[in-house]
Amino acid sequence: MPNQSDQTQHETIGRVVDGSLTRGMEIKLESSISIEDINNGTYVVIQGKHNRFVAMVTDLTLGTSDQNLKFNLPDMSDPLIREIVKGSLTYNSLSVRPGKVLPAVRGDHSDTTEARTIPEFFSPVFRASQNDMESIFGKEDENNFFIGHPLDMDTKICVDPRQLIKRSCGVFGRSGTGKTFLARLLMIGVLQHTEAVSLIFDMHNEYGESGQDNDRGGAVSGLKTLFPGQVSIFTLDENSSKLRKARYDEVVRIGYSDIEPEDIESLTQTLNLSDVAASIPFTLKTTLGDNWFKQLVETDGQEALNKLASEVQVQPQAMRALRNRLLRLTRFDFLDENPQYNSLNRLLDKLKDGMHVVLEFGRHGNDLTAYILVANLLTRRLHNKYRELTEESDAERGTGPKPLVICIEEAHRFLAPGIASQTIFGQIAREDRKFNITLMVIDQRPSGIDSEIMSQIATRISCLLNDERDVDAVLSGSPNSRELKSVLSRLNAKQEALFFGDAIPMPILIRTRPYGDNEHYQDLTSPSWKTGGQNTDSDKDSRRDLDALFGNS
Amino acid sequence: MSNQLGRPIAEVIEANIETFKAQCYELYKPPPLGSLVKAGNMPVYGIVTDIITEGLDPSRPIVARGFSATTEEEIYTQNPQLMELLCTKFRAIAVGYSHDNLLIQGYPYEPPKIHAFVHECLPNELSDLSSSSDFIHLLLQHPEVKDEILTATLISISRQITDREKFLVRAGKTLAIELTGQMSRLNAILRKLKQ
Repeated sequence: MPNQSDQTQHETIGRVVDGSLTRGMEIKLESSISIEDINNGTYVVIQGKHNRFVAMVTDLTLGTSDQNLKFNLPDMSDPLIREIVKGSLTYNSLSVRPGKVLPAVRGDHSDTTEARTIPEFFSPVFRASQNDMESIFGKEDENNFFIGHPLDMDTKICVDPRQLIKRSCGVFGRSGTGKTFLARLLMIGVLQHTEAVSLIFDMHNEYGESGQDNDRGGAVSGLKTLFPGQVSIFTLDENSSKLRKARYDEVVRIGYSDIEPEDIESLTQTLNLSDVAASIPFTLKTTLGDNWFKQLVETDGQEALNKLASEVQVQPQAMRALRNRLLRLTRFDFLDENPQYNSLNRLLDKLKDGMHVVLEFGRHGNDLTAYILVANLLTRRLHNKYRELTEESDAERGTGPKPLVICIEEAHRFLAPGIASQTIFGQIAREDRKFNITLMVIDQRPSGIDSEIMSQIATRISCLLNDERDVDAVLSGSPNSRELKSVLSRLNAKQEALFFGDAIPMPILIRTRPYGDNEHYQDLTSPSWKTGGQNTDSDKDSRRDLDALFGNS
Repeated sequence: MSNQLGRPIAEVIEANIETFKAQCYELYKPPPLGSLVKAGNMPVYGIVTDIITEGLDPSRPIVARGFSATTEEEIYTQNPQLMELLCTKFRAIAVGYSHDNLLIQGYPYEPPKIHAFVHECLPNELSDLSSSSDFIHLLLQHPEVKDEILTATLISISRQITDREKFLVRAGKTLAIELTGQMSRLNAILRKLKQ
């Protein structure tokens, strides 16, 4: 999309004619500006008497000064009458919400401030320029990660990954809208711009070696391919990795004794357990110790089960039902009676070394039970370990372990209203960053996430959502939810996302940064701020010319 | 604004702040309806809104004389006294006045003097008038101005200036604002303007 020329940016597109701080401002468009040239979600600058306000367009309206117009139409086939009617009888207006006040002097890069007042009547309105956008969203540099462009500009919109992971964040959108692409980009931002490490529960094997680009077909590079020295792949399904010819660093094996009653409790829904059956593991653990799972699944025959039930004083029928369901778990090849090594320790070691870990589920990704079990089990242990490390560090007045971002897909399975209070993910979301762990939740059904947990998700990135309940859930708690709803419900299905929350100064609608070919990878792995500007557009042009001359080496 | 004056076409015979009436020096030679004229040395500008031809002596009623004539011209040839007994007059609504050689739109502070010469306006004066739409407001306010006269005025001005379309668009927009709530009336005027 062409960049807005300076002249276009300095053209008055309208004037403030109404508004309030709570409702936002109404801008009457100049009759020379076509309303079709303004997109919902774009940014404008209002030049007040003392302040320059930046505002997002949240609605577009056709208005008329005469209510009888629609009943008594002038001859609109005549160009003269069309021109007369435009701007006099009919007018176009924008609803905008001032969010930030720019520094008074153009080009001054001091901080922007929150808009606590509104511009005067008839203040002129302009399209936001590249400088304006940079003043607000920052430039791509060691602190800011370039995530995408505004809808109608080529300006780079940046996010501060350190802010992003300070509290939990969420990527939402219906299936096929690019959540995984966005999450992958955000993880790259975290990897390049922060000290944090991440653990990605990679349900569909899309983050490690390579991912699928369903729109263009073919594969796109994963994190390991782009950052081999900083990413480690753990797999639950060695065979799948081999079949996919995907590298892996570790094969995860989980011992029976690692399974905790809480892990089974989180499977209540997927295993269709009754409340009574779901509570039995707690009793078994108290009585039998760490080996409760092994003992239960190995107890065969009605008599033996009844005996065990009476020993631990639970209902035999409920116990039988529980055992039958838990037998399904023993078919998972990553569950091992006596694993030869402790995968959790290896995982922790990698994280301690500053490696980002992608845990691929292989074929188990299609089994929700496996996904929920492993994600819960590992996260609980990591959480416990982080708690210990943080407490130790607090005692020594240290800085604690490296911040950890845990990335989970299908988040509503872990954070649904009924179970969010019990699962470890709910606890992490609520505890916030007390123990240096935050979540990146990726979900297509945000309405299925507990509202209390949702309120803890400080930065939200949403692609298109169809269900109104999902839209409402994503926007819940946002001060501008009514206006943002009109923006969010009109996103394109591809490559567009609404970004709002702690990590970004103002809500913004972006075209996601391109991802998928060598040039994009080069930009990602060697951004211009790292290469001292050697990866600029002209540099890329030269590279393209050389490639054209001598072929792509 | 040019002060270049041609031969006067009429003389003021009645005047007030809002209007002035002038008698033409030649029978049947009034300025066109809707045209811009100026009266006096410190000109008062007016738009011609009515044209009247009548007998000079109210005590001598005008009677039909064409019983034996075959054309209208014959009547005048056979009755040469008619040219002296009849006169053409027109009424103009004041829309501006001259101040420091500029055409200011609005009512003058004083009406033109009786017997002031009336001239047709020069193109540059028309351009000055057409550069603003304030005169439309004055015309619309005047009870004697019918929509047809207003339309004729706008069309007349538009035909004599260079940027016809720009003038008509601006005038149309002014009308649209002035006539808010009167869509049928506005539509009728706009239909005429586009012709």
